[in-house]
Amino acid sequence: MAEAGRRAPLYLRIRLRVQFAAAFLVNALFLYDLRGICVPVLNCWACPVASFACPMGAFQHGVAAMRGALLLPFYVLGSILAVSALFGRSMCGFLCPFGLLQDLLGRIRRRRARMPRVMGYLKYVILIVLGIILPYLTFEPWFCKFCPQGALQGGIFQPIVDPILRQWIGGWWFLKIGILAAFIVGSIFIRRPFCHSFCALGALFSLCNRVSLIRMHYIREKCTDCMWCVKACPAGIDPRTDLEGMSCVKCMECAKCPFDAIHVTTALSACSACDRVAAEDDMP
Amino acid sequence: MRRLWIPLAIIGVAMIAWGVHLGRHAVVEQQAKALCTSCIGLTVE
Repeated sequence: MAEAGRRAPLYLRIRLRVQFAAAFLVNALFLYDLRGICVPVLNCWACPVASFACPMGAFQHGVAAMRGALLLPFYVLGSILAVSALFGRSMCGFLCPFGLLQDLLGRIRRRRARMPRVMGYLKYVILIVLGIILPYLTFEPWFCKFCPQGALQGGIFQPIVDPILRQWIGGWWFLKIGILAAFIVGSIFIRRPFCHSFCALGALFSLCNRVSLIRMHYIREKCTDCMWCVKACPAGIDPRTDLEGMSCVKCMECAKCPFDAIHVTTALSACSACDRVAAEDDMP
Repeated sequence: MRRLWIPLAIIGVAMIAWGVHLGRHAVVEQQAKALCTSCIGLTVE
């Protein structure tokens, strides 16, 4: 029987600090300008201090350009594929500034609801409709038009300080601010609602979640069904059944399991704890 | 399935390299530097 109360590895204990550092580093234009590179998180390039390109915005522009040039957006898709093959959705759990905002808002209220599992499929619908079909047909980045991260990073501050931008404020701006407000309030009561059901970039990353280099293992034999992992999961999934699934952001909070039932490994190394349990089971 | 990440990562890096070869990174940079009115939610007439 595993001993309860083990100390979590360092990379799990510093996740919040990593999130803050990432939010700062992707918005550090005053330090460096790397806007030709897509950062693997949802960080709006309309932000005056964004130092990288938004992959979702670049993806939609690439899809729109396909219509004229019949050329796949290799660069953006390659950036997303390479990162997701290595890390799956860990970017959402460790680096995304909007994920950090939802995590922080979630600290306000201890007991939060979870999105229904089926809602996790909505992000694929959003990706296909707003991220691919509509940009292809209209040459407009439709996901960006609704994205709350754009409203947060570019939509509030810039029209306030720039009178030219202020005169272009219309119904769409109020809609975006309303969407942002809905997610801010929603994050207090629901666990990461945007990541779970609405993020098109998360939908792209989730395609490689189960086959990425960073792997997570659930060991049924060690689990006592204490529900610790279910309560700890910021994405509101049940790690016992949905670990590495479409809505798992691989934040690895569940790997702090007091009974050692969830492990983080890489695809290069076998899960030693799983092997040990299997060997114990094989003993006569 | 355990090693599927290797070909996926290689394909991803190859796509990045091909995109850079085609100059797509410069296009992305140009888009990132332009003001994205859709992102801010402005209606430009």
